[in-house]
Amino acid sequence: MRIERFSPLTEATYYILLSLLQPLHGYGIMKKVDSMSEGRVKLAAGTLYGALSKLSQHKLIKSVGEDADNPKRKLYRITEDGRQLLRYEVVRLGEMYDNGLIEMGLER
Amino acid sequence: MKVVKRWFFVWQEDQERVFLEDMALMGYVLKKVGLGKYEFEEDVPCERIYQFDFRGLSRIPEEEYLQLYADAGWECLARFGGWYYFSKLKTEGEEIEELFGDNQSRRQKVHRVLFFLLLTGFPLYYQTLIVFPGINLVDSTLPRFYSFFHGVMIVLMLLHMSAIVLIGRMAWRLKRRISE
Repeated sequence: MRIERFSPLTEATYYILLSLLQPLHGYGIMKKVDSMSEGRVKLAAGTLYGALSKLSQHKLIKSVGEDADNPKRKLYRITEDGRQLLRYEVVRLGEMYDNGLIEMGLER
Repeated sequence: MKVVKRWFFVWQEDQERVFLEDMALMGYVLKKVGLGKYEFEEDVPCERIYQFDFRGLSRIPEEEYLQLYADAGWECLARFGGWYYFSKLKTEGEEIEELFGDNQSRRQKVHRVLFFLLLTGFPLYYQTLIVFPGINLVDSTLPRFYSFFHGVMIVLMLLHMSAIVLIGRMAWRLKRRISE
C-alpha cells in the first residue's frame, strides 16, 4: 500500500493521528489536541468522529480496548501504517517549513 | 407537551435548525421527531444550539458515537430516519457551536446523505418507472387504488430527485471550497 496517497492530511486528522501515538478515547483526543496546539485547534465532535471512522477503515488506527471508567469510551491507537504516514507527513511539513523560512528570510 | 406539525425536506437543514432554535427561545425543547411532526417539552426559554448529523453506515457502534458527542457537550434529543438531533445550551465563551469544524468533514456528512439517497433511489425509481406502468389497470380489480398509489410514487420520486440534485450541489460546492 502506498501510504502517501493519504497525504496531505487535514489539520484535524494530522493532530488526531499524532495524539494516538498513545492509547486515547475520543474525549482524550480532544483534550490532547487542544493542549498540544495550545488551544488553537479545537476538534469539533463530528469532525473527530468522521476522522476516527475513516482512519479505522483504512487501518491507520485501531481499537485497543475501552476506558476503565466508562466502557462506552473506546480507546484507539495508531497502527504501523499510521506511523509511516505520520512520518511521511512530518518530513513533508518540515520541508515546507524550511523552505518558507529560507524564501522569506526568516529566522527559525 | 406541545406538538407542532412542520415539514422540512432534507435540503432544508438550516430552516429546520432555525425553527428548533426559535422554539427553544419560546421555552420548548425538542423531545421527539416524527414524519412532519415535532414534539416539544416545556422548559424555561433559553438559547439553544441545534445541529444535525447523518451517521450512515459506520463500524463504530451507536453507543460509542453518542458518548463521544456527549463528551463534547452535545446531547442527542431525538432521532429520525438515520438523522440525529444534537443540541447544547448556548454559553458565552469559546465553546464550539458546530458539529463539524472543517469543510472536509462537512463534505463527508453530505456524502453519507447522498449515498443513502442513491441507495434508496434505485428501488423507488424501479417501482415508479418500470413496475407500476407495467400493471394492467383494465384487468386489475383495484384500478383506482393503483393509479392513486402510482401518483403518490411519482410525487415521491420527484422529491427524491430534487433531494439528490440539491444535496449533490452542496457536495460539489464543498469540494470546490476545499480545493481552493
